[in-house]
Amino acid sequence: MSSPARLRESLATAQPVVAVEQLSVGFHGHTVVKDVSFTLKAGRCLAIVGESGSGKSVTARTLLDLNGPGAHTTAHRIELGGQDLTRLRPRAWRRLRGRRVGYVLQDALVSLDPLRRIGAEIAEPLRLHKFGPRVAREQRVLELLSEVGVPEPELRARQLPSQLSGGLRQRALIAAALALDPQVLIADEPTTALDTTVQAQILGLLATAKQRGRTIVLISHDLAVVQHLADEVLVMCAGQIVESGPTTRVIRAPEHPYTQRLIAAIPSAHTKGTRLSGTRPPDVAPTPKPPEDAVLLRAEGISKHYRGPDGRERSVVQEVSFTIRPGETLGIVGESGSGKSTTASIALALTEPDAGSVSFANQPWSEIRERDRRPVRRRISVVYQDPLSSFDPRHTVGRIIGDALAGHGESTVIELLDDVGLPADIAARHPLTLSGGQRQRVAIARALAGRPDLLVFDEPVSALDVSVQAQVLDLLTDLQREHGTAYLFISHDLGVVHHLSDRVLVMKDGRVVEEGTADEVFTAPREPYTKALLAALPERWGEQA
Amino acid sequence: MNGSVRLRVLRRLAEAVLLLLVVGTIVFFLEHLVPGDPARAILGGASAHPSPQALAAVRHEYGFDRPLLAQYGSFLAGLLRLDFGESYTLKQSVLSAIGGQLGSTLALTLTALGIAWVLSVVSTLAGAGRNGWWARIGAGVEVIAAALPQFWLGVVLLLVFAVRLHWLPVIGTGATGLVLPAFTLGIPLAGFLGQVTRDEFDAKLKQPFVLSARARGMSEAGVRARHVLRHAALPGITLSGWGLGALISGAVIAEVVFARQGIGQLLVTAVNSQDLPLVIGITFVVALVYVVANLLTDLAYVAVDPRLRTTIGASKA
Amino acid sequence: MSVLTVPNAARTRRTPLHSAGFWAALAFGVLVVLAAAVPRLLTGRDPLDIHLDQSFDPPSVAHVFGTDQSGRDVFARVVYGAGQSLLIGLGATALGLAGAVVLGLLGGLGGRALDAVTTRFIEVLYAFPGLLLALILIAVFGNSAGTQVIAVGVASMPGYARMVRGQVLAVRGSGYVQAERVLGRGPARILVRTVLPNAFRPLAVLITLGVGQAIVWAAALGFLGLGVQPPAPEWGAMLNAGRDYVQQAWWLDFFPGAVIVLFTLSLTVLGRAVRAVTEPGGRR
Repeated sequence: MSSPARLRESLATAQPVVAVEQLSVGFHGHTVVKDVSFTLKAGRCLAIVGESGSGKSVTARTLLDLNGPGAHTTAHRIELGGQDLTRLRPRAWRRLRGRRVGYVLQDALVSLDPLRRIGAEIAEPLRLHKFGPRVAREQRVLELLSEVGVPEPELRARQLPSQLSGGLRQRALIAAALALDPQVLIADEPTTALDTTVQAQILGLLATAKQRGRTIVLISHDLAVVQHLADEVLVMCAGQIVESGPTTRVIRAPEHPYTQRLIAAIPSAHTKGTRLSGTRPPDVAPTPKPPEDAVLLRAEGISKHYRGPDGRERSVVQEVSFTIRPGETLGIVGESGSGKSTTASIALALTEPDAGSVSFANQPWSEIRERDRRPVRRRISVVYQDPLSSFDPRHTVGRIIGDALAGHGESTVIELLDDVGLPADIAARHPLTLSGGQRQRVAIARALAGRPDLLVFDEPVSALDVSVQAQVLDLLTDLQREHGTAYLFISHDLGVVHHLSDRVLVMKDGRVVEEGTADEVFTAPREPYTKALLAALPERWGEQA
Repeated sequence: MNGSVRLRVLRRLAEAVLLLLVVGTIVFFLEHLVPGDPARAILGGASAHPSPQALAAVRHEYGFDRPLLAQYGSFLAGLLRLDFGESYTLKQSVLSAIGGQLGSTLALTLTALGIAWVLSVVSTLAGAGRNGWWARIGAGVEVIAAALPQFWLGVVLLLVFAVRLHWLPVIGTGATGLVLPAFTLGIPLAGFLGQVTRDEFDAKLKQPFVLSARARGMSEAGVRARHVLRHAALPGITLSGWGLGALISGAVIAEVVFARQGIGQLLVTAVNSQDLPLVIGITFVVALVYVVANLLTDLAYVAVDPRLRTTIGASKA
Repeated sequence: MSVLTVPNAARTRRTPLHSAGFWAALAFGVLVVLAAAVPRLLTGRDPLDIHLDQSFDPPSVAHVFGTDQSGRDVFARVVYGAGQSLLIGLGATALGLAGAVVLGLLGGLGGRALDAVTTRFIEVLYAFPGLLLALILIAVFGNSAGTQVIAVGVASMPGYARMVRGQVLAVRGSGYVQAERVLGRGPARILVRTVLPNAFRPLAVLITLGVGQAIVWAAALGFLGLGVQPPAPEWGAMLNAGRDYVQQAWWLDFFPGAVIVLFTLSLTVLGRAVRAVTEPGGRR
């Protein structure tokens, strides 16, 4: 490992590069960060972990004064490389930004200006901080692109963000942040919204930057993501630090109950059959398992093509076959564009397959007329990632669930709300006023209204914080135990799929590349693609212990 | 120009032909199917009482006694050659009557469009995305400006700057005569464009790429001018084609208020005397101008938004 | 995940009920409606009473808006004109909406071919300057108050039609309509109970703004001498009559025009308030 002079120098003096003491930030009288203190030494990585609203991004942005004019910041000390930042004037802040502290945001599609070329975006900090003549800047852009592992830098520099894949955009964004070799690099959720394999590459890139002596502040909602990169972890909750310490210690032996819950909430191979949210299962008799050979839904050789905007036929699903037995959970896992959502839509008979067929309860399903399907539809239901868009914007929760109940007098709105763990008074509220987890519960309650035999879930927990996700996953387990409903569960998250599924399909480019029981597929994968997916997963602490 | 731009141009031209045919056909059949006799209009309108012989002679001369479809055929054939026939009232070819007036109206509308853009960009850069009184006043002024009808604004400007202050002529030719009518048209459009640009500007200021730019050390003015303004200008550019149409509508009013020559005046006269060939001819020319304006708008859009230019290397990595 | 999350406190929005502009707009709107319904409440004078000895009196206590060339009280004429102008605006808006709903539904609900045809048709008309469309109709049908309503209505139709079609398509493609399908609902029921009510929801705002636009267009036609003819007290006709005397009696055009401006502004403010209340932010 090469250690640049700066690192040695800094270690010799043992001066922290970043020192924050008693930091509080408020917006319009509403405190979002309270009494936060930490220090960070050169060449090390500090991870700030927390769920949405925990104040982790606001804390990091204080180092750049990027919280906007509405923010009210107080601190005993904010220091960067020994310099006091608390009295900095706007002009001095601008000189610091990009030159001494680099900042990388998540989701590079919107974090890079969509109207400007990649080269211009990376050259921007160089131009702003008067880095040499134009030719030198252009040369530096190409160097940076190579450094962050972007192939064909000359071509890429001339392209627009929309012409690059998500992974390459994120690399370009990191290149822009590294352009002036800043002392500190802040990475705010740099891997969110990326596929698992790409996520691993970006983490690797940041690890390389750290090896080269850069100091990194990593912000993430996912403890698993940070553990490889971070030397120390701060766990934040509701604006305050609840726990801090060396990464391995915090993850293996968390002391604070919040951290313990957070870690227990992460679904993985080792959580199968256990509670994620720490609550007790309801005391109901489980529905007996149906006979082994019964089949609820059978898809045979289904394929679907779409014509792209360029006029070319694109194959989205090719020759996919599977069966779902009553009361079991079939998981489909794959990266974006693998065809898993289209497969779900075909199973729901909302999309007609070009080839192949689906049967439901031993009756034809995909081939019959919609008119004949309608009476059967209540036996298959669905829950999507974004429940809000699936609710009529005019209606209250009670009306939304009540409409789904109409005609089947088996239960009431209140009973359904109780089933999904929501209080009865939610019925009078509007979905807009509910939290993400509550909305998803309402969507589940509606899906249960017709007492379906099969529930299709398309990324149902992807937009939720990990503790809320844990509650929803536990709820799904309880509901299945009680009612014996079969699940078709679609997700990009291998941990979630492993936790919940009995059997698993792995999809890639519209094809099923591997299938088997969840434990077979995830512990002894046969296909190279599945192996690559699993290898890209951030290592779980349980596996090391 | 690459493929995608050429495609847009072709589509616009196809739309233009369609627009002209639809408008022409509707007007033709309305003219011939509604009660009323074009021959009467030719002989002096509703108040005149021409003899039956005179009416018959006129009908024959203009071909009104031929079968409807035959008339429609020669009407369409005429359109293709930009031959709209002879004006009922001016006793002059429609094309030459329009040709004499078009330049004046174009000068007026283009000046007004320029004024509208300058005013709205200045107002947006100064006020959008800022808090406090300045921004609220700016937004309020834009709403009021957009609601000002030309017939009133024109009269007020005329009274204040020409009648009261004598700064500008009441009726003028040349550059000084252009000022008041152009502002009469430009101010309401500026209010409208300003609202659209401001909304977009505010929305884009909240985008993460703005935060990225700030994190690189860019100043507030730099962020506004180099990143956000470009995005905010896009909807305004799209609307400019439509805006030119609105300006032509407005020019009808402004030309009447300021007693200014132009196809607006000509059109009002033609409508009053039910001089349909002249009305159709003006309609056609306006539609043509409009189509050209939209083409230019498309090209301006492509110039600002590079995403539409890139067909090479579009394959995702 | 947490990029640019603004804490709740910063998001508290001012409701329209707290703005002075809203109340001023409401007051003026009510005043105009009152003038239209019972003009006698606002003025004791007859709008058609001629006093040749009082012609061209500038605004004074006796005649707040002055008098015209025949000595008629301009204020009384503005008050009495509200009714007809409002009627023309409402009539034209109703006509435009009715045509737009038919066209928009054809486009939004018909098959692909029908949609293509109606959409082209709507776009072509929308592309065309509205006042010119109105002028063509007047040229064909002749000059009368009825034609004026038709002309303004037809001119406003393409804008509404575009909106209706866009709404219908957006609602049809929405997640909640798909949710209805998954529940096994038939197309007719989904159309009547979900698509139409949601598609027409934003129209309330549009109508508020549209009436103002229609009144302005009708007044513009009146100003050009096309429509209701002087000496009838109608705002457009008054503008037309005042045009000839603009240099000697500014009040003839100024006051009717100012009332039109204030009324359309009030409708704009009220329309926005309605939108702020019925369409809370945060919806995707």
